[in-house]
Amino acid sequence: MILLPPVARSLFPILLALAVSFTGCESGRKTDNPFTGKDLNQVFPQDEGGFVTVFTQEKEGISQALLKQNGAEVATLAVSDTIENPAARDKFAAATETLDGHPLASSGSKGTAVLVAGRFQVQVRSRSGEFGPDERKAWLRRFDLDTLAELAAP
Amino acid sequence: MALFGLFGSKETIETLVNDLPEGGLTVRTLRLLDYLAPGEWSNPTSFDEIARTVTGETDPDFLASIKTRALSLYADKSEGYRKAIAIYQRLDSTDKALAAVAAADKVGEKISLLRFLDKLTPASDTTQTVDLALKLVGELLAFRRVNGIPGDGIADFVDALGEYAGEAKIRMTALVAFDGLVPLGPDFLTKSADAIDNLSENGLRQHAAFGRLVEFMPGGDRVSFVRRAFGAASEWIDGFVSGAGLDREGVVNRLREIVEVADDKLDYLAAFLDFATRPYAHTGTQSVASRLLERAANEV
Repeated sequence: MILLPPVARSLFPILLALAVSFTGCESGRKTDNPFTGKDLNQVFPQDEGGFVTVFTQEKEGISQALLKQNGAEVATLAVSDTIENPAARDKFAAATETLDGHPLASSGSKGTAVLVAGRFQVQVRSRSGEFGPDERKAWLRRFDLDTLAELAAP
Repeated sequence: MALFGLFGSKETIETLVNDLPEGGLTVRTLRLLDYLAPGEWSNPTSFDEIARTVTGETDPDFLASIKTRALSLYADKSEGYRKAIAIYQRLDSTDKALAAVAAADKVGEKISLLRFLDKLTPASDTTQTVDLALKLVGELLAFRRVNGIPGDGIADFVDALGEYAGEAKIRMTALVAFDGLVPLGPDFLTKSADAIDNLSENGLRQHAAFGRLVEFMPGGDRVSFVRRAFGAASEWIDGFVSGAGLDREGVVNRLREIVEVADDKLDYLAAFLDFATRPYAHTGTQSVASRLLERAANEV
């Protein structure tokens, strides 16, 4: 058994905590930090058939884009990490519908959202009268929800 | 009237918006530009009104949750929205005495520029051209803070200029009209480009506007950054001027609805507008609030 001098014994808890934190850094991202906008960008739908996405905000915990159809704004698309905004998950608690296995909920009268892996909210909000609930659901499906779910995996 | 702190730090974004004036010289001059961007700007002065407009929602409880989230995002310094407000506030070089004139301005009353000639020092063409470029850079810096898009943001900013609407479009119209055409005439872009091409780091540092913005700029060669930003945006500005049929005479004639000014005193007119109005802080506050509320609606 190694007997530590008194000074070392008093520092041991601090040294142990530092060792654990360094180990955590070496193993990769800590799962309680929000994902960056750049991480979340990758799951957005691709441009096609006259539809174009224009990214408007890309920050820690959110990526947001305008959806345009032939130049006109029809919706906003957003993926947000609820790790620091857990209240956003509340509306999914009572959800009776799912979309590809993910709980689906309305967000006000203009938004439809899914919760992926219990963490990421993907929301489509209408900006045009012609872009209704059916269109919002269709565009939710165009996100790469599988890759998004993998981000949350430990 | 809003009391703009150095970093807007004493007010929430809600109070900043709600304190915006519905009238006064800033609003009157911006409304004069409506013919160039018809119906684009309604001058929203209520945070709740902006929330309803940008989200399309009417349910009070849902709007309350959006507002709460927006206020929280604004309060978080790391999010960048407070810095965007600070940048917009620094783009207005308001003189307190002249600002008092703006506060006392009454609808329908014309201001005689003769009263202020001894208080105004028109900037030289060189200073004016660099100031124009720095205001454009300021808009880019605020854009970067709001959007968070990585890199120097120049390419994304230029793309976004073409999509500017509402208060953002009227702000850029004011930049071109009041900071470009009125003081510098139809060749303002060429004059600005020449001035910036000949600019040195020391020369840039002598400009008060640079001192107000430098802490928000990316590190490294600031002159190069200003050159690249202005150069990239110039094509949009040129297209905007020709597309809107924007000319100095048209802008000055409309300004004459508010200010009595002789043809040989247009440089004083530009100086008066610079020191007596706050178009950047006013519409910049509306822009930041709109982007905040749009984001908050996507997060609640």
